[in-house]
Amino acid sequence: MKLRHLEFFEAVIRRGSFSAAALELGVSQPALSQGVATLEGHVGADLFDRSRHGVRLTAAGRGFRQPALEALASLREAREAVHRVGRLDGGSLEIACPASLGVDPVAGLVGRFHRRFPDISVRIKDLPDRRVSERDVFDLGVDLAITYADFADPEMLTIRLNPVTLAAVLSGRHDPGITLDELLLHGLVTTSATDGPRLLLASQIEPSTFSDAIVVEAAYTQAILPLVLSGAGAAVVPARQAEAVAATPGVTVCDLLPSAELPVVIAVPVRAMSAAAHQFIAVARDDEDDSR
Amino acid sequence: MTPDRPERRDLEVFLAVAEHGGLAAAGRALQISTSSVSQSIRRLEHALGVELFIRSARPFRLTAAGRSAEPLARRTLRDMDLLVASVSEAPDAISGHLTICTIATISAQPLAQLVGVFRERHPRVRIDIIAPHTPTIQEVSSAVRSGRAELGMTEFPVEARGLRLLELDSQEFIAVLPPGTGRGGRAISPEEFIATGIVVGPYFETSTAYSSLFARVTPEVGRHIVARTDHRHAFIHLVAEGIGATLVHSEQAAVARRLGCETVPFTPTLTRRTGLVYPADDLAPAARAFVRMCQEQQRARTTRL
Repeated sequence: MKLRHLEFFEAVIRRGSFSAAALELGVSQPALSQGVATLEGHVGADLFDRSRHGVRLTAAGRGFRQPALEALASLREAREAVHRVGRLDGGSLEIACPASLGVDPVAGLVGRFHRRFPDISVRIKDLPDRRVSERDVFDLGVDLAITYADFADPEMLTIRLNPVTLAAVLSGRHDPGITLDELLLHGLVTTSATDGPRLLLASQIEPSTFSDAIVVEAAYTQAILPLVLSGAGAAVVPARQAEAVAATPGVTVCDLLPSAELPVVIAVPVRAMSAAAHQFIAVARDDEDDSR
Repeated sequence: MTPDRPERRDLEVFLAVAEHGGLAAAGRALQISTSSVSQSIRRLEHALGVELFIRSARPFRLTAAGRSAEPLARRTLRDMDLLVASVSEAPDAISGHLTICTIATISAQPLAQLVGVFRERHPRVRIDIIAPHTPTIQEVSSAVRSGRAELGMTEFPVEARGLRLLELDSQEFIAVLPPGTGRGGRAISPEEFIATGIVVGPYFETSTAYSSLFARVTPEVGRHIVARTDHRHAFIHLVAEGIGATLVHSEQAAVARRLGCETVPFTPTLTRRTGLVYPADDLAPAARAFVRMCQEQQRARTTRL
């Protein structure tokens, strides 16, 4: 199986037709068709349905897609490895993530990365909580995005991280578990941006009940826990952030009933993975192995 | 078919459309359907006999009539609140919305603590903490002047032409150092702090701390930035991971210690002055109560001293 043929496969998916893919790669359409056919020969199944209306992935093609894109990325990395040696000295790593993921998992992963590459400075940019595509990653000028799995565009290569668990923080005493209905009685302190935790809450509660329960809405994630600690109301935040204030007198951290977990991924552009992104992913993979 | 007469709600909808630039966006913000938004606007336009928005523009723009109606609509809503308050003077009867504009670091301290006290006294007031259009203290004053927010909380000194000022307690900056630094509580100089490698926010170079302390001791502060993040709530967590040092105020410092970080004062001491800015004319009851609460706290403090 040749790297070139995997590139053909990837380009056809991305462009949606053989002719557009051939144009982009600067090869003739017959050469491209021949390459894809060779790949199909190796796999032992048709990867594309070719019809007059365009091309679509077959079931086999869909199954082949993610491993093929990962293999392609790894092969390109391998090809560039020689040029890359030393490039990580004194460079920088740029990450985009939603504010709600800034502590867990991002601070932990950045910590591990820093211990491996102490000379690399790190820039963390805010990523709106919405679908993120390769284009967004390029526009933000970052090496990779860390976001909720639902937000990662399927075009991107994704690496699954441990899910983020949400917890409730409130002033006063409470049982170790709390239902949403009980939580709403305390009055909600929430960010005005529709971030992951807020989207999850809003999806489980009638919109008018949800907005009536809000007592303080803040433009800044930074204000949420200080507001709860000062007795302004209750908030739902990632469990790691909640743990940090669990020992504060007069504050209770509760598990949500039923429990709420949000799957999280690292999302990278398949075609332009930077050396820093490559190393960061290696660090993240070690991290996941350790936590098993 | 004659539409109904406009109601208070229609004015709120009008202001939301003006703010968000479209019917659907206003509907989302108010959590009502686009068709009820559009009904409200039609009712208002019919009653006034003018169009309020240029609907062909994206986002919607106010017509000349709309522009002159906007401050009057705000004024009318506030006067209605005043009217309600005048007949029900009991403090817990105060309800409605209070919008406060501030910058990120002030939202966590001292605003969050003041909001906590205020909510205890006036549990029926909903509070919105909003950001200025651009993250500068001048823009906080502009938000109050334009009526986007009833109160502003900002760094002092501040240019606040036409507004009233109420200075509050100043906050000391505290250095947060990685776990195991072993400083034993000794105050840290700006030089030593920077040399540790620092974790900063997006606008570090325009901050008070930067101009009053760091830029003076070394022109090469930038070389010592090990991490810069838009997410200030993650600062102390990055320090807890051992990446570098950062600076926060007392509330965050307490959380940082629980994460295992060391916290020490700066030498010389570094503080930030903060306070309220608010309009000189009549305030709605909730805003007036908030200002009064801050004044009481300041008086109590002065008496103690």
